[in-house]
Amino acid sequence: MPAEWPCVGLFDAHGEGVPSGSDPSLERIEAGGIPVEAEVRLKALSEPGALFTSTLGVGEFALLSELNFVPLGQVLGASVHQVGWQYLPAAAQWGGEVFCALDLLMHAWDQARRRAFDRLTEEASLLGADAVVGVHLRRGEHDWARGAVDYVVSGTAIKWGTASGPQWPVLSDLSVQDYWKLVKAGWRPAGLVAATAVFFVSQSTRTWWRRRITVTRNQELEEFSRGFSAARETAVRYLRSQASAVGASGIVGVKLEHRVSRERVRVATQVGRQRTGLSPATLAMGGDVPTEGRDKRDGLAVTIQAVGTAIRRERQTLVTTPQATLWLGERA
Amino acid sequence: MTEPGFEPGSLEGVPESGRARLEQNKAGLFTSDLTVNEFLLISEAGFDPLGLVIGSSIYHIGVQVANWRKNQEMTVLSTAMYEARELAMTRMEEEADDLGADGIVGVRLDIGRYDWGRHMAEFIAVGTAVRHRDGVLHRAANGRPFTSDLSGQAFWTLLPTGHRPVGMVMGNCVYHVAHRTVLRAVGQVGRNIELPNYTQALYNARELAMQRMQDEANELQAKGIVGVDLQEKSHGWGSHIIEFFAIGTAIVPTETERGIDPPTPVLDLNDR
Repeated sequence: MPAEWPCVGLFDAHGEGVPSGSDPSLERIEAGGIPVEAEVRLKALSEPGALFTSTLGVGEFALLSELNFVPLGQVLGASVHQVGWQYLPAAAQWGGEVFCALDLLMHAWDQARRRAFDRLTEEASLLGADAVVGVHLRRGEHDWARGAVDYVVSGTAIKWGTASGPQWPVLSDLSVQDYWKLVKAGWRPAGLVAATAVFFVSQSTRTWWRRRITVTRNQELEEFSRGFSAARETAVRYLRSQASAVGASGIVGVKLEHRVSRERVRVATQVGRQRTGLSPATLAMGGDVPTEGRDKRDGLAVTIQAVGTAIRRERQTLVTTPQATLWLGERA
Repeated sequence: MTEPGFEPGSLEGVPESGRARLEQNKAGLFTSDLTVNEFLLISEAGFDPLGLVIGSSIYHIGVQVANWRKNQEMTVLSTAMYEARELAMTRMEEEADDLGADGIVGVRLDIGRYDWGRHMAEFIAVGTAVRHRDGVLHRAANGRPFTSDLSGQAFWTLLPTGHRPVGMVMGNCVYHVAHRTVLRAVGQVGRNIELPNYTQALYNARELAMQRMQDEANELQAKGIVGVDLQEKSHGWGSHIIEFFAIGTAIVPTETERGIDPPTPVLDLNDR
């Protein structure tokens, strides 16, 4: 067979036309690591007398010396993750009310986030950092990767000037200003906590009919209320368990972001559950994949993204009493 | 990448009306896009505004065909986007040099696209040229006026820390993200997995852009870079081609490197 077979474009076993083993960056990514390019950049940053890079604003930079922190470099972590096929429990095919967690989706978000955070931590460790401040999370979707989530986290790695630092860099999404205030009040960040909860809610056929008849009346859509609050509760519960795992006594600055979308989800009927026994090729041909009709349910999927910084009390200090000011200028 | 050279005293690329404007500024009338607060803080820091300086470059961006199946940098596009920005910045710096400025604050770097030129883009750099009142030279080591995207407030905060801006540094990378082959996609269908090819492409491109920005700062003998902004844009090249652009302000220590005074917490009694 010639080395350049003309039709390998579509059916190349390794994909992307790159023979496996030729790209060390790709191998590292596959193993959950950071690419070679990142290591080269960070090595240049960690040499003695090297410059630092940072996403810090000037105000933050000025406060660093107040805290005895040394900026090291901007660090990054990214992961593009494909979300698998989500099925509803088999009972969903009978017109009852459906209310369940979309565990596969939640798992995909968890994995993507963990990979991105791991890479961020690895980059920070390469710089010998004690902490990463101002961690910024960005979730993107690209039209060339449908059904995949792109998770990017970035922040600035810093070193504590005085005491020996922790074993692992402590991540936080706090600005240096907030960091300063916490440290002055005797608290220290213990780590960044983040969670994603995805729930699916669909009303029963009976409720649907009842609502059609009483459409002129004001009424609560109980199952949706319940679904949304359950998703929020779940996300916050995950945050709490992560925080207690790092020995924190509280979480500050929790940001809850929610997105609701109308979805049609497959029900795990007999065929759905058998899918593990099928070869991927048969599946792609569409032969045994559940089709329209009873095998799918319409409903609302609610995705809650929660992120916050867990903090730990270090010593008992009172916050400096703030000085009251009255602004005399006009508002911008 | 070849760098368009900065020539002191050169006004190449500055149109007739621009030269007249600079003459007016030299005669004593300053123009600036500073707010009142910024103007006062910059004066307080010991600088006088001289005039608004502009650099612009309309650039034709070449064509490059990507290998459909390969993660690769689009070097032609990377170079074009970089050189055009550098050209705009250099022209702005030459205008500032003509005014006898020490540096430029509040620089904005924009890209304009027009429907009359599909493969063209206008790169514009705008800022306010400033000069130190006591004639302390604040230029960069290579003789160029310093540039910074810092606001007047940030500029005023930075100086007491014993640092000064030395130049805006940037790095970019236009990257082509490989398409997945059908067999690959089929093999991955319906599963929760990381897509290493995509991760690697986006990761690499960002790292390359940051590395290049770092190299520029090293050339300026900077101590560090603050306020790095990492942007991601697809300038109408199709969805698989993305530009990553990193820009920040490089800073150097002044003779006296010191910390700021401990800040006082204040509470604003005004309603929002």
